[in-house]
Amino acid sequence: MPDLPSAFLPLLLLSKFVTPVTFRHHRYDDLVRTLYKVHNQCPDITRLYNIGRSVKGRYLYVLEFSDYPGTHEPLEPEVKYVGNMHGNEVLGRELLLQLSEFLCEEFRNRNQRILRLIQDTRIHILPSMNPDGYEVAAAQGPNTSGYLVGRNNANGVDLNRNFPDLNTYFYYNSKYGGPNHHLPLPDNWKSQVEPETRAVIQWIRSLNFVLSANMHGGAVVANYPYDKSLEHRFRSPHRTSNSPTPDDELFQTLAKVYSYAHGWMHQGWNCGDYFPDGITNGASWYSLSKGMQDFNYLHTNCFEITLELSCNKFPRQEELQREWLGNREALIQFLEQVHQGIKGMVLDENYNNLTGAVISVTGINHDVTSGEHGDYFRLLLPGTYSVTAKASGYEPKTVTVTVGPAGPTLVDFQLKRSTTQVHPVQKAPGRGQGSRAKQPRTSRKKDQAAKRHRGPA
Amino acid sequence: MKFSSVSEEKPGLLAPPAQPLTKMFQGAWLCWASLLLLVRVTQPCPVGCDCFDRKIFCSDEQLAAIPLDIPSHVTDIVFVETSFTTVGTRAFSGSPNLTKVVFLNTRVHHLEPDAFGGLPRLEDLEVTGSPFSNLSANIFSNLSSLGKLTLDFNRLAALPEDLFHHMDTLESLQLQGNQLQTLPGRLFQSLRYLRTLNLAQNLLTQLPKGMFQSLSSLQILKLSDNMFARLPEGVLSNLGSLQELFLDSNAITELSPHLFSHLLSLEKLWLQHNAISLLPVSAFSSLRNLTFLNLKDNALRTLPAGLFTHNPGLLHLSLSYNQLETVPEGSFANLRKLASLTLSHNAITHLPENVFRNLEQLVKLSLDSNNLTVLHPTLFHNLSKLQLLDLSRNQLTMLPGGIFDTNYDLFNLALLGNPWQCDCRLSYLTSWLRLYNDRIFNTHTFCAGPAYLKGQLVPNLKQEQLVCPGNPGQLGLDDREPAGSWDLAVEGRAAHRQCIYGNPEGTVLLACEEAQCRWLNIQLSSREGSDVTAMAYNSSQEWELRSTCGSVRVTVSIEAQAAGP
Repeated sequence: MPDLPSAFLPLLLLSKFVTPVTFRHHRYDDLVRTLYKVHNQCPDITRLYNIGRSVKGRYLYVLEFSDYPGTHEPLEPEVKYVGNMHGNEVLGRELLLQLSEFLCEEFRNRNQRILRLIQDTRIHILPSMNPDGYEVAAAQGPNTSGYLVGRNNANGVDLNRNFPDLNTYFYYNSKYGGPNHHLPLPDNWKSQVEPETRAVIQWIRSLNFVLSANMHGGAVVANYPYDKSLEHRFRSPHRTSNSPTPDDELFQTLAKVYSYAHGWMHQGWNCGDYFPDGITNGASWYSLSKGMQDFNYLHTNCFEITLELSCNKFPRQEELQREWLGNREALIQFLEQVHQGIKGMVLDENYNNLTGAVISVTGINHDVTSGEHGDYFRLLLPGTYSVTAKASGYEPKTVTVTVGPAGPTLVDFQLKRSTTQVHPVQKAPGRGQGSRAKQPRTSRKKDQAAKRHRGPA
Repeated sequence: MKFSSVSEEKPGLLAPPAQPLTKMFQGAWLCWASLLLLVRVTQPCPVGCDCFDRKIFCSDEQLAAIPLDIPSHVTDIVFVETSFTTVGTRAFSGSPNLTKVVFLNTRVHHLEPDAFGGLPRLEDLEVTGSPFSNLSANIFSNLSSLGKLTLDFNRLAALPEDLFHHMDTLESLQLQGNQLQTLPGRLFQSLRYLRTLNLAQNLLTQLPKGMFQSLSSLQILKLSDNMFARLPEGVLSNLGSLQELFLDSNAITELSPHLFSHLLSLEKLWLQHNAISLLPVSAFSSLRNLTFLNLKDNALRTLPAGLFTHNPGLLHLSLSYNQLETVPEGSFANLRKLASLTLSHNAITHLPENVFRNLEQLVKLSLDSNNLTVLHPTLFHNLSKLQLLDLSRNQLTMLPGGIFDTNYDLFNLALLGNPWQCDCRLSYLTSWLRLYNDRIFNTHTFCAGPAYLKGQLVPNLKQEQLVCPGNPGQLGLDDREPAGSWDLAVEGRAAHRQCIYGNPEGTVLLACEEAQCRWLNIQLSSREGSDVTAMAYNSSQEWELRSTCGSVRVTVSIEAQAAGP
């Protein structure tokens, strides 16, 4: 194995002694029944809610696992899994239903690893983002050769090409200065996206997600941002190139966590294609615009990867058990990665929470912000970092932090109100990163005002 | 003249009747077509519901009654979190084609006696997560086609004995998560074709002896999460088709010797999270098809000899979280297909040499969290397919040489949480780790001694650090050949003899050959901050080091140099 962080310590395989689950495909009504069954079986640690509806009116159900479901506990990170974004790519949907049953069953069996995970993490599982597309694919039957039937939503739109395109804006800012995180949405974004996309965007803006994976099929590889090529606009569209994020090493590690914990993804040779370590930069594979994983990174605090899980997009029912056994450890280990890096509270002199404070790490051109409870989460690999917290009206504070292999490292910031009476100077964007103008968000209201002034990106 | 008159009249009469008839026919046809179109176009979806072809989902929290205008072609209807509280008599009789009716977490707390009358084709009925607590005896009496009935997570406290008496076609009955304390003895008498019965998560403490005697087709029986302290002898005696039996998470303290004696088809048996302290030797002797056996988290202190003799097909066996102090030598002798064996979290102090000898297919072996101090060199021999071995959290100080020599596939070895003594006796293990195991798996495996290596990471050790004072570092034998011999071989060997000189505390070590010394290791103060003082600048210290080769004196001085380039 290549060098990997020590987070792999709990690599001892999960016991096979788990209550067996039913390995079958689930149409929409069966999906709903299964989710309700898990919720009813584990009512104290689950919450079943919907984030919106598909074009045809099917609900996008989310099952939440937490020791206090429905509540964000400060310093407890939010993670999400999204399946079935392409309606005909169904393994993710089935795996997430199995994962839901597994978490519930293992919690009831007092599995210490799962108990700890549920106590320390707030897990949101959206088994199907495209329930209409799924029904189209399922109606074809799993053995038909229709490659794309059911991929799109009921309006014929590919949902992984339907998010606001923030990459161009980021590439411009990297060159000429401008925000490196929480890029704003265009004013008219709601009219540009499908109902499913709108529901997901509103969902990921409503919770301070830290880590995420969305599940696809047709290959076996863990794909990490950026999906959109940096060079796409300036070179031939047929040439692709690696397009790293400022957190490239971290994303590679997250992808490797999944691929190496997976039964066979790490072997690289799958589906007639080869990916070293079973991972790939999205843009170096093929470039795509308006994808969900780039949107998560550029608009929110969330680090999302894309998991291609099976060669056959709609595997036969008989293959589901093997797929579950191959993915189960990876699904758990990936969730555990949300506890790497640093986290803490951002407070003022009177110990009030500061929302929207900006957390910067020297050398990483991507900041994160504190949430509504004043807590922040910054995924980082083991090492020593210089970390700065800034908030409008407060003096910035910088500390040096060492992140160990067993995380997370707790780093609280207490900021003093600024006594400087300097008026903000309106500068034109200058050259180089040093003159980047950061826009800390101290409240959603202020952010709205800023967006109105700025206009469409 | 008359003939001519008659002929003229007849053609005139024929013309008028033909024309009106044609016109009427055309009008009727148009009218019929219009009616057909109207009927199709005006099939509305009931308010508060969503229609998908022949399926209806009603998820409106404000839906106060079952819609009366369900289209007649609908086959499936699902209510999710609706607010009506009663299903009235024959509530769905206007929808005779329904095959599936589902209520999920609604507020239904009353089902009228004939609520589901008029549904001759109903196959799947579910009322789950509702607050109703009782059922009338004839509530399901008209459902002659029902194959699946699910009444999970309601508040049922008792069931009338005749409840299922006319349900000849039922294959799946789910009663999980209710508040059932007792069941009438003849409740399941009519369910000859039942395959799955789920009574998990209730409050059952006992079962009438004949409870399951009619269920000769039953394949899966779930009794998990109840309050059984015992099961009556013979209660399972007619379940010849049973494949999976769930008795986990109860309060079972003992199993009668013949409880499972008729379960000839059983493949999986879940007994974890009980309080079983003793197993009769015949407990599993009839289960010749058993592949999974889970005895985790019970109170077992010993395993009777021959317990698993008759389970040759067993693939997965868990005995973790018990109180075993050892395992009798022949316990697993007949488990030649076993792939996974878990003995973690017991009180095992020793294991017989041949206890795992026949487990040729074993892939995973968990021995973590026990009290093992010494392992026999051949303990894991024959386990040529072993991939994962967990020895963490025991009392091991060393492992004997050759212990993993036949474990060709072993790539995942867990060693953390043991008091490893990192001296010459650990040479085999560290060499093996360097060659065969990825060090990433043992990043928390530390030396407990000797003092100068305490806290060091085992996989990072160098071979020359693993020394035992007073013993030759390379050869295990004293060379007793007389000096001056003319034999070249003897002379060559003598020339390479290595001596390790050390002080009693082990803080100073010196490795020498006949004519020269190669390395010196000095620990100036103990990591534990003992009373031994470290050396100050501009001081010197002297040690007399001993080995079987003799003794040497070592003097070390530290001089502070004047600051300069």
